[in-house]
Amino acid sequence: MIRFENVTKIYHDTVYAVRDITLSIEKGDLCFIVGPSGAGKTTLLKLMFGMERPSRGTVSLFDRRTDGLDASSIQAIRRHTGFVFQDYRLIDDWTVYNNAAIMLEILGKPAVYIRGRVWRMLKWVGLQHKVYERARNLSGGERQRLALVRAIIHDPDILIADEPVGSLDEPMARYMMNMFLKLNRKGTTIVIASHRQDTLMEYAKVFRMEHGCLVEPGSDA
Amino acid sequence: MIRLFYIFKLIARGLRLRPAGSALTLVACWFAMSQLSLAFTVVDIADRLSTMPATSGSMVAYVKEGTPRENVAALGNTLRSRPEVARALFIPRDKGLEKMRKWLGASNPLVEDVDPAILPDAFEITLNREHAHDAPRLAREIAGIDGVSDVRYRTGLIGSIAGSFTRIVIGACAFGAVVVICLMLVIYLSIRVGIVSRKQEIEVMKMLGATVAFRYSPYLIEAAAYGLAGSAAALFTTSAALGHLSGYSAALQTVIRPIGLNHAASVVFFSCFCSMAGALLAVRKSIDV
Repeated sequence: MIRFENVTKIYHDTVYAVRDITLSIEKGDLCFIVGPSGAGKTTLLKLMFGMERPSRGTVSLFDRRTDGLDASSIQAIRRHTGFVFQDYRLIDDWTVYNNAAIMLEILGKPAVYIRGRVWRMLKWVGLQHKVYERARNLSGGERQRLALVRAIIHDPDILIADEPVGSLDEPMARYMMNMFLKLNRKGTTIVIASHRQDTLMEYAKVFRMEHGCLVEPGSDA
Repeated sequence: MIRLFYIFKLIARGLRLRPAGSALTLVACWFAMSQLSLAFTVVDIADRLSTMPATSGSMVAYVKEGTPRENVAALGNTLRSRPEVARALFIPRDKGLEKMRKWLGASNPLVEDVDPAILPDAFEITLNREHAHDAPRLAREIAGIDGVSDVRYRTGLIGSIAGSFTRIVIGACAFGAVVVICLMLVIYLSIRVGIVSRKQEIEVMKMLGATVAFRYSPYLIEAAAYGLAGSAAALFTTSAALGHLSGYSAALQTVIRPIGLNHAASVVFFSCFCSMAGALLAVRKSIDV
């Protein structure tokens, strides 16, 4: 499903964000990419999402190499993928409802379906009382939950999450991680970047990164 | 498929974000389209004047006293054969008097007891519209034709307006071009400001995989709505102003007519076309924002 072959990403000709990475993630995998800050986790996820192009090597998503794809094909891949950004990337002026619904609007789902699905998902993450609140007025944890709802509301084939529970308190983080596990059991491929250990890793394939390199490719934690 | 409801929701949000800017754009659109509508009206008036009798578009050539009938017929053919002449109608002296009585009133002392024999026979000549401005030269040439004693044509303000039809059309075209370019620029700037002020949501949509059409169609539809609303308001105000003006005198009523379907359709078309062209330029400029 996701395949990296000798992928290197260099910024400004000298800064190696990731270096010579080869990995393979299959359909239905639950993967963790762990490592300290600056190890290259976010760059790796961006390469998976088509937000960055590799400087060297090849990235394949859904068995299609991304280097040969035009912008509209990359957009099409993104519509089948969910991404929880480290900085959430919510639309601050929009309400919680509209932020949650945008992905379904992009996919052209019927209004009745959107309304029902958004309400169910917001209730699920405990944001039903904030539906008409502007995203800018939410707390860090609420923003993170909303970002998560937006990423999974359309049942993506792949969910990529960059530090998805970093701003959540322990019970909510646990709740979210269990939710990832449930999604994975329903068949969604999940890739999570995290700088901390999690008990969920015992069920997952773990890639450990340091200084842009994979030091443990796909091993159990 | 992008749902219209969603597009209208985005447009409404855009209007809420910058109500003053939107109102100003609409006013600019109305103003520009009013100018275009007035330019069309001026062309329409000049066109009507140039084909009306008793303007420089028509003249009267008096036949020399004692010219034989067959020579009069030949003179008529000579006049009609000229490329500048659209029509040359022979008016015998008695008919001429009848006409004068009709114009001035039968009881007018100028024509009350006039002997028809005192008037000369004449040709009422209507010029082709494109030669209406050339009446003085044509009058001189026609006066030089054997059998013509005198040629008279209308001068003054109405005559000179009718005689300047071609120049008025060129001027209106140039003015219209300036107006539509200004409108395009106003819409371009307005939509560009709208796009820049909503840069964050466009970036997020792009990140989530929204197509270019999904991201930018609300702006194009918003521009078309400005065009439609602006042209409708312009047609309404121009029509009201012309109606008010023509109410002042019967003479104006013959010159100023209500706005026709072609006129209205042209204003709406130019307005929507320019608005969407301006929006398209703004979108193309912002497509990689």
